[in-house]
Amino acid sequence: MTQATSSNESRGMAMERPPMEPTLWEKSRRGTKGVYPPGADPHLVKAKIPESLLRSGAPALPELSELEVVRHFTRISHLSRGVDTHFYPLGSCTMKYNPKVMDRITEIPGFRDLHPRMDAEGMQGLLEALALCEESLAALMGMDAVTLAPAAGAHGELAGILIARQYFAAKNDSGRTEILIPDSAHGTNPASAAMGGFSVRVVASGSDGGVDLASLREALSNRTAMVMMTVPNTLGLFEKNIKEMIALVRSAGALLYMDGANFNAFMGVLRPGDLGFDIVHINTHKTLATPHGGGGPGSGPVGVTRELAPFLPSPRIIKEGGRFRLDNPKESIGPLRSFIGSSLVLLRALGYMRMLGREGLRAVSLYALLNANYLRALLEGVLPRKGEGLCAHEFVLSAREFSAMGLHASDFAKEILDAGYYAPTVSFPLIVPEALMIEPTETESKETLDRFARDFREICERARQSPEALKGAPRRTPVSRPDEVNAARDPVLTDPRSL
Amino acid sequence: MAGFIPHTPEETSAMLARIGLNALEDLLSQFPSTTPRPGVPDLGVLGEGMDERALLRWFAKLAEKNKDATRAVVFRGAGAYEHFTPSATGALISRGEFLTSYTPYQPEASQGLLQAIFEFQTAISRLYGMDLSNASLYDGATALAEAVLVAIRETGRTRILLSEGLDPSVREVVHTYLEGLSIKIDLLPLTEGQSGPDAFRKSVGGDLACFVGAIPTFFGTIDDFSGMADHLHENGALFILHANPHALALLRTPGEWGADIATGEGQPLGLPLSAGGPYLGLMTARKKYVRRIPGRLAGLTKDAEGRPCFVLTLQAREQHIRREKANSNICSNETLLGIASLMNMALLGPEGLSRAAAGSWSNAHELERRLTSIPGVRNVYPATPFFHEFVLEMKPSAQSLSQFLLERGVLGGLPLESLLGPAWAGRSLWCATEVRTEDEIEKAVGLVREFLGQR
Repeated sequence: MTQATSSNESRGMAMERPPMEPTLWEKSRRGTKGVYPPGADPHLVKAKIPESLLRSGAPALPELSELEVVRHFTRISHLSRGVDTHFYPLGSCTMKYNPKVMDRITEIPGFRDLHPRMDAEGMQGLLEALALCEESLAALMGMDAVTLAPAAGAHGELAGILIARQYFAAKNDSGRTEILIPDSAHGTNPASAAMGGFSVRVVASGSDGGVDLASLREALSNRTAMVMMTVPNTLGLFEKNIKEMIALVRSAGALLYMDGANFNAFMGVLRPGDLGFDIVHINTHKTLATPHGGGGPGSGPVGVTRELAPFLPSPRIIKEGGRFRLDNPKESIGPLRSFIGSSLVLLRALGYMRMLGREGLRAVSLYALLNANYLRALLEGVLPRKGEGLCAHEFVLSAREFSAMGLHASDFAKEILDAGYYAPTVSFPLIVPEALMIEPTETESKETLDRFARDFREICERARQSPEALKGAPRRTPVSRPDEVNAARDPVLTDPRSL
Repeated sequence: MAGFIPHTPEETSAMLARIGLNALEDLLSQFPSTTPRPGVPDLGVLGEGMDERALLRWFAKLAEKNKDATRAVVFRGAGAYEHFTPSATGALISRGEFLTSYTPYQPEASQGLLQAIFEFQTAISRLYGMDLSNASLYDGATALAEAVLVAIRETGRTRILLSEGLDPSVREVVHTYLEGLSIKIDLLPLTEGQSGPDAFRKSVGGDLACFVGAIPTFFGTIDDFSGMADHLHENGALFILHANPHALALLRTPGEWGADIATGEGQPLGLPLSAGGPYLGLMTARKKYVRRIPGRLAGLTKDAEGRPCFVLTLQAREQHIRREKANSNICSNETLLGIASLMNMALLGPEGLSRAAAGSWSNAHELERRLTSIPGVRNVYPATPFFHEFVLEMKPSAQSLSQFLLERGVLGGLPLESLLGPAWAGRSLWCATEVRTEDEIEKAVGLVREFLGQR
């Protein structure tokens, strides 16, 4: 994949693109020695295993020296952007700076090298830390009990949905088969509900982007098991009628679930439990200091009320006479994964909470609100915003006016990449046409926000003057826009050179 | 008090002025007022904050109460394994471009990440002998649960058959995932650590969505799946294998057994034990199931200028597009661990990976030979080939042996009674990987001898 650079240059375009890197299999040379691990001679061992149980040849993995591998990954890393390299205003994803000291916590042998099937006696430090993590999260959420088991937000949603199923089953209330979800919700909400065996009923938003009370009232019935809400909603707005909505759901006998993907907006300021939610998940990889790792790992702890606590996934951490142990309660929905939880992710969350303390966490949310509102104010009049007044930690603009010129939100995103940033979230939430969802987070400086606002304003002006120019973006990234249709038609998902 | 907030007081004031507010607290006017729920932990539990050094010392103190692999030599596996990790991986995986990036939805600014995911998919596919792999799921257990869901959707049937050779904890997760879907789950028992062909044939019928077997079994034995793929396919069912990727450097692959979908726990590819997570869910499949499987897929394509490049593809399967009709609800996965496992595989190469797997086999067999030479200790499946784990039986309680060993710096075999019931009293599951040394094996064997001698 190196030859492409010269052909681009000969065509006189994309001169700024850095060279791509060949794949591991392109670089592989048969017989090259890599790292020498402890082990034994495979030929001697194979002679002792029945041939019908052996693989026929060695796996087609690349053969490279250690230096070649180090250069490969260092070079391809240069072709990607992270929070460490670029401003990342990706709405709904809370791409803030995650303190490096948390990386060091995960390197302490007492945690990193601890076997998950260790006897309880040999994991007292871990269980003590995780119990404190549960308690701290319960305090932030305003919930009675917390499970740390879910591996991600969507996994937490599934946990909450299975808990709701178990709760109604225990009450012999078998008619509750529906989960209500606003049309502005994350896609994981309806997908999780379906995985849990519920049917999904969509609740329409009103013109202000909030849940429409009349639609909610109409949708609620004795078939409703639960209503899932995102707070603040995906427009970055607190529902004006939230207390009325909660009362409506309560009187219908359904449970209330809060998707806490946007928890960075109100840590230590507002507690979902105090508002009246029964089940809450948060994404520690958004709010509590785990970097996103190109897609994961994360973790999605779930908090519940006292009534729902018996149904939490197993195992539970129990404290008795100053000692900790694991227990599998009878009424539990069962385990959600092989072992206790994503411990190394949860220890980061705990470390972040301990380091910042109560006031520090509150300050995080205040500055997340400040940065979002400041950027919102700077961009006023540049593109129309969905919603009015103060926003929470993020806001949504619409590039709809450019549709007639053939420009879409994604074209703006590509131009923003060229300006030296990662892009805002585009085409979400679904209720806003040509949406650009912007979340600056608290860790960005005024100077960065000023510069971004200036560049964004310029991009919109350029779009008005010469819309064609945006269609050619991005020009400064390693590649231009990939042909996605071709990619999906006959998918190539492994390197053909490996075969 | 740290907060990683870069604002000077002057900047904060200027920003508030631009918004038209006087104080930070004015930003809270959009919040509904509430009263605290009684009985809930108080925010005071969060403490007053601490500096970096104090924080690390606090965690180090907690860590001292754990018997990690540096304090107790690991002879326990049962789904989590201590393996060799090349040093270069730690240096490479902490690069901010990988560590602090989001899911590569903007491919032009994420080519390195996409290439790494594409290479991960390639390495896992070749290791499993399958056509394709996704970009990862949460862990082995959830990967298998998702594979079973694929089979249920593909066949429209409501009964599945799980081998007794699957890790019981993994089977339980499958149960949890299927809770709301009215699926019948049957168990195919093992005989001497292997699936019996007669029992298998009796359990397969026109109502079966899939059969799931394990490589190697939870008990360490190497099962024989001869003829199973054809029989399942004749009955319209899918063949799923759940395999340890470390073992696949030597053992017959899911692809060679004729599996339709193969899953696995990726932790044995040199990822740390991590006190249980995060781990790495692997899912591979035959090409015909590409539109059925869950999770992200990176594909090769060309850009507008004709340059080869990578992009997330077939997104129409996923929750952010299909919502309640999606193949799965999965969004965040374990990409970073997938890339770390790729680095390990690339650094070791086919020869290093095979050498490490052979080391596990050798050490486990040496350990078994020496332990079963102690009077009163027997291997429960003496005639069946095993990989790097085996079940021992002895008179005294396995739990008291485990405690005796742990007090002397050895994490011994896993007592099976609490996991599998009273029929397994006195039995424990032992493991040795390539990282165990002659001295460590000698120490463990000597301690078991001492323990038994005291009775």
